[in-house]
Amino acid sequence: MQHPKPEQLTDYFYAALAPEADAAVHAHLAQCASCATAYDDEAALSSMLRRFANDSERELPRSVVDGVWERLANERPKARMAAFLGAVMRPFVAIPAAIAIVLAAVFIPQYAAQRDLPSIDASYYLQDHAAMAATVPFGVRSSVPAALVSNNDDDNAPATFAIANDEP
Amino acid sequence: MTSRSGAALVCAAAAVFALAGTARADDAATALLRKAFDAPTKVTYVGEVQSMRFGQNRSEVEIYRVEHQAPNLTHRWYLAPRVAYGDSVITRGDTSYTVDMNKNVIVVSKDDAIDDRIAVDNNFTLLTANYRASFGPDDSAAGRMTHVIVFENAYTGETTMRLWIDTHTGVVLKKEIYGANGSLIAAMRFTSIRYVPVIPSDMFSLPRRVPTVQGGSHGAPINNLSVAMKSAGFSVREPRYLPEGFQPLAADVSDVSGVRTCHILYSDGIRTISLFENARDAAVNLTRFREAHVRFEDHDGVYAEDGPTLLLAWSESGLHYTLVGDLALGELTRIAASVVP
Amino acid sequence: MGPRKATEPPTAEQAAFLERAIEQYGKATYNFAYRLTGNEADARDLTQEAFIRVYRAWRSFVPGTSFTSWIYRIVTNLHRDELRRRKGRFYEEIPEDNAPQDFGGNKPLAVEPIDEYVERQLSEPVAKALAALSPDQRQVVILADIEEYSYQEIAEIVGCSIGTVRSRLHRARTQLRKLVQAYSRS
Ligand SMILES: [Zn+2]
Repeated sequence: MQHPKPEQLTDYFYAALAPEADAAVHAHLAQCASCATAYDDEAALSSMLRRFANDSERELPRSVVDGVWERLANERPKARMAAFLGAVMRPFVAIPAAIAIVLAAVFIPQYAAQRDLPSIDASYYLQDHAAMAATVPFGVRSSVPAALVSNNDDDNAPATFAIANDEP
Repeated sequence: MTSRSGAALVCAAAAVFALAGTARADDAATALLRKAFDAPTKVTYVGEVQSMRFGQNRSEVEIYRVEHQAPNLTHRWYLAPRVAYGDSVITRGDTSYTVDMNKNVIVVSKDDAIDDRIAVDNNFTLLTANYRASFGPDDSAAGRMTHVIVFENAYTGETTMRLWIDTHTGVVLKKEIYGANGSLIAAMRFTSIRYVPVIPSDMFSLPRRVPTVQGGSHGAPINNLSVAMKSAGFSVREPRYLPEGFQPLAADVSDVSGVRTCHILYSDGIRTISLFENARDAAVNLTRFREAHVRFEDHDGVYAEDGPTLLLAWSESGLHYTLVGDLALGELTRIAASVVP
Repeated sequence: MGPRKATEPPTAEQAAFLERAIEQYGKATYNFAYRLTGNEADARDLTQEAFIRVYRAWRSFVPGTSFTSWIYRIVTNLHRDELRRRKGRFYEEIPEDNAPQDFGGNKPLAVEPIDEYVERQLSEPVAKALAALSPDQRQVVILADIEEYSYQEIAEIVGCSIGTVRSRLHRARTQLRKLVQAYSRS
């Protein structure tokens, strides 16, 4: 193959080439030093951008969140903030015991409040209980492995016993 | 960070020493149990696990493939329930990444308690203090030889748990937990397991091009109950009655939709109860559950079942309480009635 | 089911949707807006407006599709509208076929591998270089490199063809190289 055009290298970098073209560029890069350098340069540009993004990452200012709720509340003077905030559970996914409920809950809003007072969905309590209870290694809620402990003690280094899987 | 279990280390330890005489477990069984506690840090394996919880009206099953690299890398792939099919949870030390293929998102969360020697030691102490461990007849599980340890509640004499522990590796291959009437309330078993020297590290790397979001944590665990209670901003109350052997293990305070909520976890080493409190009159919303009413002392409570887990909620003098646990309703209402100003 | 009218009373469900959206995607959205606009004040306004749109149009979100793509699309459109409104003050349209420009007072641009810049952690020049791209180019670079979307996904978010994404991205990258070098020098 001829040297790929710079555009093709970029497309290759973004995994946007058709399979045959992708394979051809891949093979070419393995045996052409100058194209390999050009490709590395593409990658370096991207990693520079990502690094910049990481370094300059910002927290969402509280004022933005407050501003949203404030504006919505002003649009409807009668709607109390409490009504807006009702029946919400915070996103929580960590512990597999809770995974099914949580995954079903994300963006399938189903927490209709029955009244204007704040209320907390029962799922929140069940999930938070499941999550904290999962830290009890052999408890009702634990999953496999029962406990994970990272420990630097030497006597806890991975054992090197050999185990036959077909042992009787 | 010590741990959320450090929360009640002091009172737990006191009770543990008081009990040391009555609850002396079979030494060999205890040694094997210790090995089982430590097995995940030493043994690498791949396998498939079935985990079940049984309720009166509904049971839950989870099936997942697990790849575990000692000491602390784990990848679980969910095969069931259907809603979780294809999702996986990658745990690296104390950080979990839940990969939701459907929503194309990775939720990152941290659990300080997992990565904590003291938490595990404390749980071990609690378990051996409250339960007499003895050997049952040897058995096999997932095609491997196992020793079986039977846990009998030191106060009631009821058999509460059986563990099938791989005789060679110490990995718990099967677990059964029984309720007060002897019925099975939870079970876990490996349907297959293969021990391997090493698992390719990319098994524990995250898929590319999937955005990550920070999941809610439990709120920072607070290793001192009174500190947790102070940070709640209202005077948190504790039950005067707990079933024998239960100790506060952990606490956290979080804002749930702007409602400051205090959560205290109690455990006896196997069973767990959570008590939630808020001072904002935020009632529990049970629309998605079958809600029932119960009267205890002079309270009107509501409760609902989620598999074997019961949730009981009530309010009293400006505080709203929710109690969650795998206990009978009678036990829960007795605990609830003892939460008094 | 069409979007709810703003005059309908808000439901707890709708509020829950918004609250959850802000909690999970607020930070990412704000950072995306910040990179698009290059300043915090505009990023704040843009983010706020975007979530208000999310609230109003919450029923048009299709569960199971990517929420991030949806809100980035909202942000992108709002940003474009805002630029049109301010046109003349901020928005300098750079033609799609723009020729390489000179920077830093007509100094010729020496060719130097980008690696060396990476090592020097020149976040300042990168910020300036990004800001100097046309809004369209900046968008695709942010989506492709920082947010790691595919051409197809970018096309959907930005609302253009894949071919346009490709050509914008190639030009943007060429520009970016030169700009970073120019700003690092000055
Ligand atoms: Zn070449």
